[in-house]
Amino acid sequence: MKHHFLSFMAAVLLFALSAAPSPAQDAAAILAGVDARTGGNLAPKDMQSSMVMTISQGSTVKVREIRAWTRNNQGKDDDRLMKFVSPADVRDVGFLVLSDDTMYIYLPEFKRTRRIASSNRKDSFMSSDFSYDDLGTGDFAVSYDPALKEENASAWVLELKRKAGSDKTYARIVMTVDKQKGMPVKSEMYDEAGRLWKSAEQTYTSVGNYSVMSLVKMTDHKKNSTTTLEFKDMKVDKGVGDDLFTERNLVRKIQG
Amino acid sequence: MKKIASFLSLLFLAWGISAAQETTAAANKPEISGRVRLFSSLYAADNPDGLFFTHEAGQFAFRRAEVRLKIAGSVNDRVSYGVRFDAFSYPGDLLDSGQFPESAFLGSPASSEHFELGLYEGWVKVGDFLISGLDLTAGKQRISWGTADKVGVVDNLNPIDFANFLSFDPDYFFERRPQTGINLEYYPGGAWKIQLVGLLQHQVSPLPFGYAALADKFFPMDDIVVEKGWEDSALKTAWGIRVAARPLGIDLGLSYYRGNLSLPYLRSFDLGLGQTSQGTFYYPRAGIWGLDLAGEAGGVGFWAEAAYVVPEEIDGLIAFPVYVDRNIVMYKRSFPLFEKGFWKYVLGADYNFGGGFSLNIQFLHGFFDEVDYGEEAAETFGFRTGMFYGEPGNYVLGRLEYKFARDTVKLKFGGLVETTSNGSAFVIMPEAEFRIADAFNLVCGAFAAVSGDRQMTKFGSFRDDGQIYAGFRLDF
Repeated sequence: MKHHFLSFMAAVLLFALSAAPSPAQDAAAILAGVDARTGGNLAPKDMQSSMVMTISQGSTVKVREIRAWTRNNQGKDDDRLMKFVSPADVRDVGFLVLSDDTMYIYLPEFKRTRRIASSNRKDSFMSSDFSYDDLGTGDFAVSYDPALKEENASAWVLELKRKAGSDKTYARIVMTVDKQKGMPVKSEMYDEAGRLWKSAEQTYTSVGNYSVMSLVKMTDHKKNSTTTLEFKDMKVDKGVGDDLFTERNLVRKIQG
Repeated sequence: MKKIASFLSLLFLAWGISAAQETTAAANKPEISGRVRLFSSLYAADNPDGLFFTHEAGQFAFRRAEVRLKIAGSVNDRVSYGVRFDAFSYPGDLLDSGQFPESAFLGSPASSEHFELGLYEGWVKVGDFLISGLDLTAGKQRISWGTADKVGVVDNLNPIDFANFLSFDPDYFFERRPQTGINLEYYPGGAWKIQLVGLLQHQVSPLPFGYAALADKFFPMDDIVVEKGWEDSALKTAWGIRVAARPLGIDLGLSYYRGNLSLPYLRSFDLGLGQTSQGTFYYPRAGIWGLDLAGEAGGVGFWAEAAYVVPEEIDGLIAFPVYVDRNIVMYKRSFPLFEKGFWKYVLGADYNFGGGFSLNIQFLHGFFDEVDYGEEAAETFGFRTGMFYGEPGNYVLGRLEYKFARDTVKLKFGGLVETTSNGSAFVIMPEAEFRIADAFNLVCGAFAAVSGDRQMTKFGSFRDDGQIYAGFRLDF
């Protein structure tokens, strides 16, 4: 499954310009294109970036910094390594994801690496408005049935309904897909009762041959709070190997 | 021999650093981080005749201000370093009655503002040392083995911090102290890891303040002798090896530790002819085989550790005078102090229910201080389950956590159940943590043994020593 960060960033991000869908495509084909660009064969093979997460609720603003490396293992779970830079009490904490059920956390205070259960994915990510599922936007077609809700000159609007038996958080998603990029630029997520729960707006930039997400703004309408996630210093297709996603690098201190 | 070993260590280190300098990378500026922390606890009730503590309600149980200063950086891509100093300040005086708070020799306020500074860790790490995939870390360092949540039984390369255990400070509960040594970690590929560690010292756990008086309560004696029983030899300090892999998605580790146990065990008791008693405590050597694993099933994380402890075969001794034909002669009897081998183990699991609720539970056989004594030794000295330094008992430790308000509030309800053939005890450890701002937390909680026989259970003996605590922690 592709609930992984690269997927997110990639999904997030990428886009091979030559692969943009044609206006005549149906909903399933459009969604397949989104999946391909977010975690499939049109996504970057690997990616590294610095991320700045800004959480705003009322007058309270909190900032978190993370460095992340992700490898797109097409057909398998992505590998993901994250090192927390700030705030100070989580500095150097590491998070390694090798599959949905193989995750590790490194706690520098105790010099200890611990395996953590996948049920911890139920928590929000770093106390933000993102859930772990939000960070893994790939493979929509596996969990949702799409329908073309409307179309205009620049975008398709898809309505995604959760498939029976899926464990996805959102019952329904209304996704606006940019025709040129073939990537989602706005998503509205609804809960079981049909109420608007969250909405996300994505901005993209070009890195190499890809169009990758540079900013995503997630609003939780129930909590009345917003989190923006900005990607910096993005590098793609650097040939990252297996050896990066190991305990050895999980415990390694961030340099610089 | 130790000098030779140290010299060789430095030689290898120099070689590694020299080789590392061939790599290209700019050195980074040292990064300074640290912590300011205050912890203070009060007794909740009177206990004028306590076994461990005597106090009145409201009396301070423990209090200290703490500052950590950490400096870390890298010389290049392969060579990094870390140093951490811990300073503790006691917010009271250390005056004997009739003593003025005179300054120390250099004019420092030592008697009225007690302060201690220590080197917690100081190490250099060289990546790809000699060969690709081999990392060397030399110096004072924390080396953590195993998969359990704190109460591990294979984490034997660093001694338990027994002093802080009895402070009931949750940040130090079951913590271990870094040791000086050489740590080689080899990553041959995949999830494989081979680790070889040699310590330059014998392990000694810090014991609580007033420990000798405490020991005297259990074994009344006029004199205490502490035998180290070890040679200051590089070949006879302590070492360990661990091999880890991930077969079938399960993290698996096999380990062996050879060294001394870090706590002193009563070895002999001599009631001399002059009716002056002497107890001898001893740090036994031991070999410990370890197995640890961790995995997950259906979203439930699980882990297990087992340790087979093989203590050195030493004799305990008891000696006392007896009258034989109106003459006093010393009667002496020796016996095997420990069983030839015994097990300790821990099984644990955790689960996140969502909505901020999570649960962590562990079953532990054999607390860190417990060993399996020889039958005669146990009978002679009175060792049993349900006491410190007793026979291995069974414990269930659990923690239910609820966090809300964007994780700014965490409520933890921790507990411990002790079950032995001598009875059971129940301890509750509730705690509330408030994240006032990023990296600044307030914490308050309590430690209370709510049931258990005061004489026959380890934690029941704290029945009248319930404490409440509060403090803050700022990281920078």
